[in-house]
Amino acid sequence: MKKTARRKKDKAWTMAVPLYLFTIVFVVIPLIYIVVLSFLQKDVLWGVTNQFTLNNYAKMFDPVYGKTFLDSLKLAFATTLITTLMGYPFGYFMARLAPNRRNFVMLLVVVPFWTNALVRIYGWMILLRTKGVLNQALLALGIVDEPIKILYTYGAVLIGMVYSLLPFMILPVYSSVEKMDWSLVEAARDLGAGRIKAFFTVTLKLTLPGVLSGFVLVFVPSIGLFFLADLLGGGKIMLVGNLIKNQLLQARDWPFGAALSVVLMLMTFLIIFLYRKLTHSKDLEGFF
Amino acid sequence: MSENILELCHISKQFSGTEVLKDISLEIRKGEFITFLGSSGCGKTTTLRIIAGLETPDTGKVLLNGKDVTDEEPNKRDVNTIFQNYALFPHMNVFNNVAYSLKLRRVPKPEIKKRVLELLELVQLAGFEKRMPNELSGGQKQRVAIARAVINNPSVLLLDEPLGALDLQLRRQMQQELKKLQKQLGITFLYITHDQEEAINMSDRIVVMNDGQFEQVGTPAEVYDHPKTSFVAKFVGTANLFEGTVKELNGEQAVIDLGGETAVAHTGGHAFQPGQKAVFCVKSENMTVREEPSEHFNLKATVVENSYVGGMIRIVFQRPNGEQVISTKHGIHANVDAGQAVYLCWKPEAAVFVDL
Repeated sequence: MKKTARRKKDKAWTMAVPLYLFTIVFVVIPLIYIVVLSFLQKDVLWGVTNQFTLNNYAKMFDPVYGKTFLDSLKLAFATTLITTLMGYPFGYFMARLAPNRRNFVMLLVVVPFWTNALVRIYGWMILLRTKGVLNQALLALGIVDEPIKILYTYGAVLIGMVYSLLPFMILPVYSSVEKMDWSLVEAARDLGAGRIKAFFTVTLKLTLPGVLSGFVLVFVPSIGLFFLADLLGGGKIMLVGNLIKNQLLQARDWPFGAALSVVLMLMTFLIIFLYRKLTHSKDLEGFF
Repeated sequence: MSENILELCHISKQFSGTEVLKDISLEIRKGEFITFLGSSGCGKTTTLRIIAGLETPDTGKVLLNGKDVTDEEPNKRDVNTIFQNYALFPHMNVFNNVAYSLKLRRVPKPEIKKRVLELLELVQLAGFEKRMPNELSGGQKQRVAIARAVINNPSVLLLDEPLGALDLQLRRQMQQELKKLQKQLGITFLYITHDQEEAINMSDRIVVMNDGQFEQVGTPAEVYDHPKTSFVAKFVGTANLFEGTVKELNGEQAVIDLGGETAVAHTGGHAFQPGQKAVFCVKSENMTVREEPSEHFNLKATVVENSYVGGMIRIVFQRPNGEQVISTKHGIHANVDAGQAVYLCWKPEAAVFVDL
């Protein structure tokens, strides 16, 4: 009996072999390559010498690069905060709509994905230009006397980030609110909680997993979205993503680019690790 | 100031054009155990939700302790609910679930602790404070829900089919415990169930509901033995309904023509005239089966089937006009076989007239 069961298990394992092969070839090996590369020395042009060095990591302690990391983190936190503040109410009310309206709003959220992200950012550039639609509207309404500079500022990059990543907050919040057992809110109301108190003690805590996965889905890509900073920031705003891109394509310093990538990856792992720790803790009472 | 803790005055409610409650009124006394009995969709849960403040009636008023609370928010009402699915907060442990309403009212921590532990002891869950709801069995969840709902000493406790998800044995045990708890705490219980046995076992009064209306309000004995309507007769216990014309009256007894055959029934205070149409019911346990005709009256019938239903025999008959009649009796032998022709009769008192 036991033997046949084990044999069956073995067979099941073989079914996954193509998947393992795929992962090894396209994920594990490139990853190892990047890690190895990050410990090697740069040679002329795109070349690399086989000499071990920690210089690539030591270089990062230069305040210039430190500032880049800090700026990236700040922008990522700001993006995450704003998308949460906007995305939670959006996802919440979307989940509470009647099903037919809900599908319509869902369509509105998803439609932007049908167009290339780069094209949409060019759209924003047209909107935010000094003589762009937004400024003309502000002038016409008399809110400002002369066009304000929005494009090629930190604010423009933030707008672009929030715009691009908002759906990744809305959708997980929506799905967690949609799964809510509303009798729990009724129970809270019945036990003496006002609407707001019931929201904070029950609804928010039970939809927190959605918010947390939104955090991860927004925070992680927001560190690396380099083309946003290039286009909307006019190349003046340097993020980790831009730095890596520049090392690889312009400075031709692959080992340093690889080292930066490894650090970025470690930061991402840390975020995901914290996320898993939070969502797997049993009792959310006392959290927040 | 009336003795009524809760009054429902002419309450109606519609959901998207469908009338769910049709002008219902009821007075509930302090300390009473009152049960709303009805099949699903009869409006009993809506009634409860209106009392809890989770729905607003279209017309009518809810008076709690003599005060109009119709438009009061649920959190402002001195009423607590035990929900059908328990609705325990899954992110809080047992202690925090029970303490929830006390925390909201900012009761000092030591007092919260004392009261929660006392109550958990009362519902036999001492030592379970740290457990999460998903680590509890159905019966334990039920007890937590009870403790959470009574910790505030509400004027009225609303129970929405609280035992529906439990197995029969546990249900019986919880019935006893709830009844005991109600006596101990002196709280008015408003209980909802579709299980007539549960209603009869536990209640001081039963409200039989059908199609958004109250069919009958009375003690379990009144509802069981003297159903007012054919719905109540059929819903509470197993009853056989007979429709016929009053043929003659002999004092308290009426002879009814059932289309060729005659039967005798007690008028029970009804003032009948010969020729009048009448409906009466005979509970299955009061149906007597004979192989030989008796001297009073006899209804001819054929045995369709008999089955043993645990301590009882249930026999189904068919009358010549096609109507089915059910009889139940204690024992394990039916003494009649399928296809056999028999005579049915009953004591005149066993027949109760119901509204047409």
